[in-house]
This record gives sequence, structure tokens and C-alpha cells, in this order.
Amino acid sequence: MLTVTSLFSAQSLAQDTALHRRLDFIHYLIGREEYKDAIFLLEKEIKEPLQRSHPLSDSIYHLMGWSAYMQKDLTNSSLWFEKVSLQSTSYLKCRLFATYNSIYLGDTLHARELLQGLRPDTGWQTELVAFEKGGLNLLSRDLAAYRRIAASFTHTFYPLVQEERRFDQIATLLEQNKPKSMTLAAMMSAVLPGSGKVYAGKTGEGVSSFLIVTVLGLITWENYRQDGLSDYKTILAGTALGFYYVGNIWGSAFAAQRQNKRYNYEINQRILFDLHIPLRTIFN
Amino acid sequence: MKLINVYFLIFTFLYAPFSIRAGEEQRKADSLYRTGAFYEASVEYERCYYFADSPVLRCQAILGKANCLKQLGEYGKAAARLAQAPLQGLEDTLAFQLQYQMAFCQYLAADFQTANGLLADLRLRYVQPELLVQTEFLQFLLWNELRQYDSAELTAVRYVKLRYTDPFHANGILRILEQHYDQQNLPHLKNANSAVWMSRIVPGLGQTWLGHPGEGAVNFVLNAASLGLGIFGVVSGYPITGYFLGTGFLQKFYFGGINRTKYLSQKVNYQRAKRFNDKSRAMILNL
Repeated sequence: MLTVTSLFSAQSLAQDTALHRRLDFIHYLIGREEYKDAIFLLEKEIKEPLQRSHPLSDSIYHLMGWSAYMQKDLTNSSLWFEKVSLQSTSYLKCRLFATYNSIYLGDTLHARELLQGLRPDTGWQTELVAFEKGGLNLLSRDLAAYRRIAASFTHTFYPLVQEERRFDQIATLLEQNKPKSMTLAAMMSAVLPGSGKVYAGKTGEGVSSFLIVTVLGLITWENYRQDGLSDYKTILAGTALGFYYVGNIWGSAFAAQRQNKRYNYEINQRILFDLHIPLRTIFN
Repeated sequence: MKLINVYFLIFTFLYAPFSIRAGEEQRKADSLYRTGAFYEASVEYERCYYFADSPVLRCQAILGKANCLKQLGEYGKAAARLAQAPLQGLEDTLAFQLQYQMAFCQYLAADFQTANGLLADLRLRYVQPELLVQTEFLQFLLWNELRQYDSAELTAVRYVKLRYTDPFHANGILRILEQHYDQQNLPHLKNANSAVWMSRIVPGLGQTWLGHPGEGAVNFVLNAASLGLGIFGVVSGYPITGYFLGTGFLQKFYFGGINRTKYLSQKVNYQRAKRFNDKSRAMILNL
């Protein structure tokens, strides 16, 4: 009986040792930034019909999530990070990276769910979770909610000090920002071709549009003066002028919209960047 | 005592594989390579490298991995991996193979300057005739790619003299080489600057000189028509229309023609050099 028990426990020990050896190699591959190879081996491990201890399974999921994250495969990275159990020492890291992945992929609802489920047990963890929530509120432009959360920032935890300050600056910028009006841009271009684009921040495009409309106008006028309104050359030049004039009004309205989108995109990129840096600083 | 023996046997049975694992891993990698599973083999060779306990085994694993990457067409990655090989304390043959493979991978990755630098270093370090034959072969290919045809011919001559000891055989090959590298047979490469200047002075002339007369003629006609349209407009009392339409079209066709000439000169030279280099490579491989 004792011999059989010993045989099984020895076999299980050997299996775990072999797995540890394989995981060592995967760690080495990740250290060398050979993420594709690491994922290839981790997938093989996951497919193996072995009885693994919880910590070992968590290690595999964690490494899989990390490799996928480094390969910028954020969807799969989230899937693996979320499989890591609460007992794991890397649970907080995995949840926060899964949250970041979801935010980056635009699934803010899921990101909120992940953050809600976290129970940080130390001061810096609480502040980090609050910081991530604050970033989410900035991304969804809920500035009142951001200000409420920002009131709890201590501004003393080193990896967050600069990012918290930048979040405050972004919130102020967003409060002061006046979006460009599409109607105003269109009206300005109707009165003076190209001026709507200048208002939308596209000075070069505005000047170019003004010159083209002027040249087309001069060509139409010249042909009209020489051959009258019904001549085909006047009609051709006039049609080109008409199309360009109306197109420029339309383009000015969309230039204003594009400018607003670009502004929001740039702000969002800054928020995402600031959300990301502390995670890499703390958990690297 | 009996129980102790049983335990001993159990643990010996379970742990014996660990002691011979290095050899097993190497065999597994070799077997995967032989079956054409190059990606899997490359990962296994990396495992061999990680668990190897001597610099020789590590370098052999790196060579194996580089071969897999070459088969996968990842030449740059193969060269980068070879560059990380620990060369200290290695015997000359293995160290030479690592460095030679690194230069060869750079050649395959079309980074000819780097490959040439690595090879120059290699030729200074290793002077054994059997190793020099290999370097002369790669050097010949590189000089051709770098369009240094005089040096390529000299290298080919040295290669033949090192490889063939029979003077009758060697002389026959040297005659073929001399004919191949005759001034008349070398690729006539065009000067890109001259072509561009021709197109600046007479639109379409550069394209014609580069061997595309049809394209040159079309470009010339388009430029002339644009200029004619402008002049005709101004003369017939439409100065604004003539000026803007004429200059607008002329500007597009004139500068478009110049840009096209630049592109064509690179394309023509590349094709001519490639044709000659392919022929040279086939010739030396058939020796």
C-alpha cells in the first residue's frame, strides 16, 4: 500500500518537476521577447490532459495573457488574464491588465465590471484601482465622476504622481474645450470660400480651397465675358466652379467634425497612455 | 532494506530521463527538422540552447535554430540569433561556422553591406584553406550584388584556384570566367542623374534613354499639348483660362515625367544587375 502511494506521489512530483522545467523555458522565451514561441508552447501545455495544481494553472494563464498582451493580441490576452484565480499572487496584476485591454478595445462596460470586482487590500492598490476608474471616467467624459474620484488621490504614491497630475490637466482641458461647430464652418465657407476650413484648424486646406475657387471663378467670368452664358465653355467652367464651391462648404462642415474627432482621439490616447504607464512601472 | 531498494528503483526510474534529457532534446529537434517541421524544430533547438551545459552544445543549438529560421525565410532573425552565440573558448571550425552562417544569413536577407563587413572580419581571422574556400564563394556572390564586378572576378579566380588542384580543369574554368566578366558582357548600368537631367531638358528623353521610347514619346506629347493649350488660350483672347489650364497640366506632366524617370532608372539598373548576378550565381554553382 505504502509502495503504491509512494509510486503515485513520486509520479506526480516528477510531473510537476517536468512542468516547472518547461515553464522555466517559457519564462526564458518571454525574457527574450519570443512571445510567439512562448504562446506556441503554452497552448501545448493547456491542451495536455494533466492534473495540474492551481498555482501552476494560474502561472500558465498568466504567462499566456502576458505573451498575448506583448503580441498586442489584447482580446486573447484579456481572456487568459481573466482565467487567473483569486488565490494567485498575480491576480491583481492580471485583472488590471485585463481591464486595460478592455478599455483599449473600447469595451468600457466590461472594464468597469472588472474594476468593480476587485478588492484591493493595501493603500497603494486602492489608489491604483481608483486611478484606473478615474481614467475610465475621463474616457467616457464623465468629468463630475472623475472629480469625485480624483478627490481621493493622495498624489504621494510615486508611480502615480505624474499621471494623476496629467489626468487633472486633461480634465481641465476637457472642461474648457469648445467643440468646433459644423454649421458655423459651413456658413463661413459659403461667405468666403476656405474660411470654414481655417476656422476648423485646417489653414493650408482653407487657403488652397480659396485659391482654387478664385481661379475657377476667374475662368468662368472670362468665358462668360467673351462668349456669353450659353456657351459650352462658360457652362463647363461654371459647373466646375459650382461643384467646387458647394463641395468646399460640405468639406468645411466635415473638417470641423474631423477636428473634433481628432481632438477627442488625441485626448483619449493621452489618457490610455497614462493609464498604461503605472501598470508597467508597478508590475514589471 | 527491501523497501529502500524499492524507493531507490522508483526514483531512479523516474529521474533517470532528466540526466539524458539534453541528448533527447537534441534528437527531438533534429527529428523535427528532418520531417520539415521547421518552426517546431526552431523552438526545440532554443530549448536545447537553454538547457545545454556547455558552450559547444549551445552553439550547435544556435546553428540548428538558424537553419530552421533560414528554411522559414526569416533570414534577418537567423542572423540576429547567430550574433548572440557565445564564441569564447570554441574551436575554430565551430566558431567559423557560426560567423560564416551569420554573414550568409545577412546575404540572404539582402543586407549585403553588413554581410560584406562580417565576411571581411572572418577572412582576417581564419586563414585555413578549407575555410577560405567557403568565404571566397560567399564573397564572390556579395561582390556581384554590390556591383563590384572586378573584385567579383578576382574572387572567383581565387575560389577556382583553391578548389581545383588539377591545372587543366582549373584553366578551363578560368577561361569561362574571363569570358563571363568581359567588359562587353557586364551589365550596362545607367546613371540615374543623367536620365533625370535629360528629362528636365527635353521631357520624355530620360525615359527613352532608359529603354522606354514609347513612354518617353507619350510624356513628350502630353507636355507639348499642355504648353500648346496655354499658348493657344492666351493668343485667342482667353489669358486666364489659357494660363491656369496650361500651367496646371504642364506642371503635372513635367514633374510627373521626372519622377517616373528616377523610378525607371532604378528599375532598369536593378533588372540588368539581377540578370547578370543570376547568371553568375548559376555559373559558379555549376562549376
